[in-house]
Amino acid sequence: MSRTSISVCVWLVALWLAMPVPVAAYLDPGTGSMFLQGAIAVIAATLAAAGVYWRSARDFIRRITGKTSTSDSDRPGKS
Amino acid sequence: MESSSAVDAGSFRDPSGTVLFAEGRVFRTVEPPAWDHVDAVLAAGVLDRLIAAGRVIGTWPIEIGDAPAGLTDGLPTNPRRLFEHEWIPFVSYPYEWPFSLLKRAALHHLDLHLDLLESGLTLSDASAYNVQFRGTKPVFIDILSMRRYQEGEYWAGYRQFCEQFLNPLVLTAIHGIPHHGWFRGNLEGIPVEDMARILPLRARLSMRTQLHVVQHARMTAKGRKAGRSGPANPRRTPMSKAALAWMMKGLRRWIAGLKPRGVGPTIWGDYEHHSSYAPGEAEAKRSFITRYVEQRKPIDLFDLGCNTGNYSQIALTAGAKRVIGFDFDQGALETAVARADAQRLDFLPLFLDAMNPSPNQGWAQRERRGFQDRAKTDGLFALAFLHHIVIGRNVPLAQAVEWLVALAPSGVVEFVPKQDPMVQRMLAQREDIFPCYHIEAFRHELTRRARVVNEEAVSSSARTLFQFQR
Repeated sequence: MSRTSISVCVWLVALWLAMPVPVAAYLDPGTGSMFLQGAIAVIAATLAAAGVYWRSARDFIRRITGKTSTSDSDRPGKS
Repeated sequence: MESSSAVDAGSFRDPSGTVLFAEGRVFRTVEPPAWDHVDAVLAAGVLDRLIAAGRVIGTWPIEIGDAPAGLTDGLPTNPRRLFEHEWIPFVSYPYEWPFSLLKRAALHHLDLHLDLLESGLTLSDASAYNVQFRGTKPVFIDILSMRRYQEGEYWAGYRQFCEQFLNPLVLTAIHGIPHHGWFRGNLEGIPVEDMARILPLRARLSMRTQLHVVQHARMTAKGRKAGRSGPANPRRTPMSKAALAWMMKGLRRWIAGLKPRGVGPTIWGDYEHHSSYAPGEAEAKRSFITRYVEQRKPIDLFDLGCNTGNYSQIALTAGAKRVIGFDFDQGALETAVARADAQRLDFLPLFLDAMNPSPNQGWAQRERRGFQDRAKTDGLFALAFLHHIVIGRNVPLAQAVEWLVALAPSGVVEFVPKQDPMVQRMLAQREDIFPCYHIEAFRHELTRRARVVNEEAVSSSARTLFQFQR
C-alpha cells in the first residue's frame, strides 16, 4: 500500500471518528482503545470489501471490453 | 521451616503465574488456566527459536521435585507446572532507560508481537516492564504474556503500549522533555489523555499523532463516560489480523524514526574530548583503574557518573564481566549506548540522579524496587563523581562516602580537590560553605569504613584515586 493511500485511510479514520460515536461500551480501563480499534476494524473491513468489489468490477469491465488481466507471473523477468 | 525463596513482588498482576527467586535462580509457576496457552506456545515451536535468537529470555521446564526445597511454600496453592528462567543480572525499569533503549524496547516488543502473530500467537499485554536488557540488547522476559491468537480479536495491550512506550518517546521527541521523571511519577506510563493535552498544534496535524494520541484520548474519554451507562458486552466488529499487523507496523515505522529532541552534544556528552586531564594524566588514571579491575576481577561493576562509558569500557577490557553505568546526562547516555553497540560491550548505561535514585514504589511500595535494593555489585567506580554531590548538591562528605562504600565491597573513588578547575568553576557562583571538603577529611571518612588499598594522585591539580576494600 502506498504512503498516499495509507494517508487517505488514516484521514478516513479520523473523519469517521469525528462523527458522533454510538455509545455502546463496558466498564474497562481500555474501553477507549477498544473504540478506536473498533473504528480501525470497521475501516479495514470496509476497505477490504471495497477491494474485493473493485477487483470484481475491474475484471468484469475487462471481460466485456475484451482486455485480459496480466498477472505478475506473466510479466517478463518474473519467474 | 522458613522458606528460603522470595516471591517477585512485581509479578502479582497476572494470576496465571508467579515469579519466584531462590538460590540465585529464578522460577515461574504456571497455573492451570494458562496451561492451554503455554502448550500452544510450546507447540508452535516459536519459543525455542526466539530464545535461540536472544529475543526471549532463556526458559526451560523443570520438575517440581527438582526445584529448591521450599520454593513454593509462600504460595496459596501448590503449582503443578514450573519453568526456570535465565537470570537477569540487573533488573532495570523503563524510567531508567535512555531514550534509545526505551525506543529499542518498543521496537523489540512490536517485532516480537508481529512474529508471534505469524505463528498464530499473540501477547496479552504490552508492559514495558516485560522487557529487560542484557548489555544494550533487549530481551522479552514474560512468557506467560504469550498466548493463542483468536481470529478477530483486538490488540489487548494497545493502550498500554501507547502509554508505556509511545507516549514517553513522543514526549522526548516532540518536546525534548526526558521521559524519566514523568514515567517514574506514573508507573503505568504517560496517559493518552495527558499526552493529547500537551501536543502542540503542529504535532496534532500529523496523522499518526491524530490517530494514536488525539483520537485515542478522545475515545478514552468517551469510553469512560460510556462505561457508566453502556451495556456490559457490546458487539464489536472483528479486527482482521492484517489490520492488527497494519497498526503495529505503522507504530513501528513511526517509533523507528523518532529522535530525542535537543539531545545534541551536551556538556558531559562531550566531556571525553574536553576532559580535565592531560594525556599523560589520563593514562595514569587508566592504569590505576585497570590494576584495580585486574586485581579484583569483578563480575559486575557499577560505574557511577559513567558519562560516555570510557572507563566502563576500560573496566571491561581489563576483565570485568559486566558494567552497569549510571548518569543523568541524556547526551552522555546516548553516546554511551552507541559505544556499547559499536564495541559490542556488556555495558548497560542507565539514567540515575544520585540525589534522587529510583525508589521502591508501585503496589505496597514493593512492585518496582528502588536503586538501593537492586544495588548488588562486586565493584564500583565513582570517578569525578563525589564533588558533584558534595559541592554541587551539599551532601555532607561523610554521608557521601558512606553511601558509596555501602554499594560495593571494593571500588575506586576519585577525590577532586578544591584547587581543581572543575571545582573552582562550581564554587565560582556560590559561597564556599565546604570547609571540610579536603583530601585529609575524605581519607579519614574512607578509612573509617574501608581499607585503602591504593592511592595515587593522577593530575596536576592533585585529583587523587583511592582504591578501597571493605
